[in-house]
Amino acid sequence: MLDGTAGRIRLDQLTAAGRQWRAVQLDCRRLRLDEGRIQCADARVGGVPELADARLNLDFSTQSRAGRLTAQFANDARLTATLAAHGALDLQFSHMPVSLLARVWPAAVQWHPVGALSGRASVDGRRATVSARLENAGFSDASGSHAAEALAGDVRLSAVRQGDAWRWEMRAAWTAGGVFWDPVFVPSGVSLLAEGQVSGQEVTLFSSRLEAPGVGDITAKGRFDMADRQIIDAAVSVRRADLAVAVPQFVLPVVAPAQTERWQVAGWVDLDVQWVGGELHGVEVGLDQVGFAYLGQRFRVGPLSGHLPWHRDTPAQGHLQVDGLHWQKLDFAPFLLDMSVEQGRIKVDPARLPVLDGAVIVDRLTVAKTEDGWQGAGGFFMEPVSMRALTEALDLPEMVGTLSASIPGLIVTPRRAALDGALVIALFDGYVQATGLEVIEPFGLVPRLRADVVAEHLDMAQLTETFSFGAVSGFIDLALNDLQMAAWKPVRFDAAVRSTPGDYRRRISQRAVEHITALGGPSASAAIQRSFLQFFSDFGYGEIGVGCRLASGVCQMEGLEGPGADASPFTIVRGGGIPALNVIGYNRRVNWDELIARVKAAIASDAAPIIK
Amino acid sequence: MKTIWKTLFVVSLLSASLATAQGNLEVDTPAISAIKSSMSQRHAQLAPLYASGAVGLKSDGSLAVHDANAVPLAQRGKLNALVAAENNDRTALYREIATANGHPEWAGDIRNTFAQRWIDKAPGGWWVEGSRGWARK
Repeated sequence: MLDGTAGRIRLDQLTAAGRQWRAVQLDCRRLRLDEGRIQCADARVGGVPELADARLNLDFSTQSRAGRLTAQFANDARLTATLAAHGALDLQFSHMPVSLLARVWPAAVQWHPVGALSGRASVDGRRATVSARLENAGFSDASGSHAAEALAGDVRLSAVRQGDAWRWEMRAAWTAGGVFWDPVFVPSGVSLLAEGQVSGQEVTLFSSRLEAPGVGDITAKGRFDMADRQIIDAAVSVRRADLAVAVPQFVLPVVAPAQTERWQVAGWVDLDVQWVGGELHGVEVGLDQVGFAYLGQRFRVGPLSGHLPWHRDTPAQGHLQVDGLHWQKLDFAPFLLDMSVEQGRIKVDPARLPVLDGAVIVDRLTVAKTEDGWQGAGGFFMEPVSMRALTEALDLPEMVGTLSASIPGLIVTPRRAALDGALVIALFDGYVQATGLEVIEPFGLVPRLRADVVAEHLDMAQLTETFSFGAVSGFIDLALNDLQMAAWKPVRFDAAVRSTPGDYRRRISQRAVEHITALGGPSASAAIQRSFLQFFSDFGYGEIGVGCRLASGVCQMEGLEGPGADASPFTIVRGGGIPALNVIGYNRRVNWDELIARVKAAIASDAAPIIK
Repeated sequence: MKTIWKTLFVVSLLSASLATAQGNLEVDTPAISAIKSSMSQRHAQLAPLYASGAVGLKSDGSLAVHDANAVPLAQRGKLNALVAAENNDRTALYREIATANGHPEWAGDIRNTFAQRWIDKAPGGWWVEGSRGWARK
């Protein structure tokens, strides 16, 4: 018997939490051994580096196998473990440093865990409860790509044994701090309520409810096979997820980090997902007042509302009510899209999308999953839209006539939109046809467009009136081959304009001649004003022909005679009738930006023609 | 700092020469203008991140998050977005310069040329990637 003097307890081996220590010793300031009862007060632990700074108090009865162990750590941290005679264990802990975790779990060292944990846990053969609060917690990997700061939260867990199973319920609240898990940042404000059962390798979730900023109200239930780490069956519902919060926070950083700041999204989404027999069985998406815009307000869709279902085995019918579709100042009237959704494919029923005084008719449209990702394919045509309304909406010079288009084949992927076939626009009494039209990276910084364009029988009178270029009567044909644009500006093309063959009135006004000659520079313009031709307001002409091959910012020009040496003059307008004149170009190599500037200047000066 | 960087940019364009051919790195097209304008606007946000070590210059002519710890936790998502957007622009810039020279196959050489110039001209204190990994200039 020891009666309270200092003493030492030695253990050859201690095994706990899957770890083993050898030659462990307790140096007790007061040690009492009396009839199977061990009392060790104010002890230090040797042989367990993890407890080097702890002071222990142990009171244990070897007869009843009941007792109490108290450990006092630095910084007011304290742990009390009470073992009852019937085997119940009760743990109370306050301000326990989370960094202790790294002492018993080496893998945690690299995460630099911090924080304090307080609470209570008790367990016996039939019941277990845990109630804990975490404060000022955090962790971080070396690069800071996975980290948390200032975390606080509470968790309560209780479980009751029923036969071979444990019934459990849990409440958790994450009340402060934030977590960055590359590339997503999640702020606090999350609460979870769940109940379920664990039986062997199967975990059943009877019900659960998660609330978090932006993701609305999430409920889930299901069964999970922990051995195979697989869902057996489950149902997850999301109600009123706020896209304005959820998309920039959770979706864009993952799917399009470079464009996170270019998209604006709003509206609410409901989502129901079901798994049956280990397989995803169905998804229902409900959209309410959803809208999105790209690059400010240049392209806007919404509000749109509707229902999009997907069922594994059977096609499902969905619909979208689109109350807004805007591009620049072009506004579509509300329209409805009905669609059939099946495995890997969405097929949109024919629809009419009213715009201005006409409409875009969706003849067929299918969005399908391919080897290269999602791809849309369809056919469209237009009910005629007046050019007057269209040009006004697009801030272009007012044009007369109508625009009608036929787009028999359109293929769209996130990176590329291409026409299979021709886009035909009726314009200025003639038509413009584009083939091989494709736009690469339409939502990128540098959208690229390629096309071959031909136009026939364009009425010069309407054309020149539209662009305030003076007056020219007659018709022209245009070939614009290998057109390449970047950021919607031309970088390469091979263009040729020619008078349309045929018998029609061909007159060109003095003002138009001045503008054409002005393109050659101020001196050319002055020359005509000094000549006798200044006394006539218009002239007859035989043929107009001009070509420009644009490359590297330089327009290589040619006239009716075709290509020639750089220094050789070329005829743009060949005279005919009385009075007649020729317009000759002298500079075959023209800087494109300069040429555009001259055209703009010529049009701008049109209000004050100089006739001397 | 902005002036230094702009100067660097111009110097890079003017003085770098291609190893494989006499390419014109000064070439200007609408696409290159759009990219340079985008990069110039973003630079105000990137400059303090270079200085703090949050972002470094990689040897392949792109940027990388070097030390996210230099940025408050809630801003690290934006840090990623900035780096991704800048890398998109840089890749497009190298491609556009090659295309404007009529040799799209030069994009790799142009990227390497720029990469070396960005690193050579980076101010002291910035993190750059060399043959032995990251180092502070």
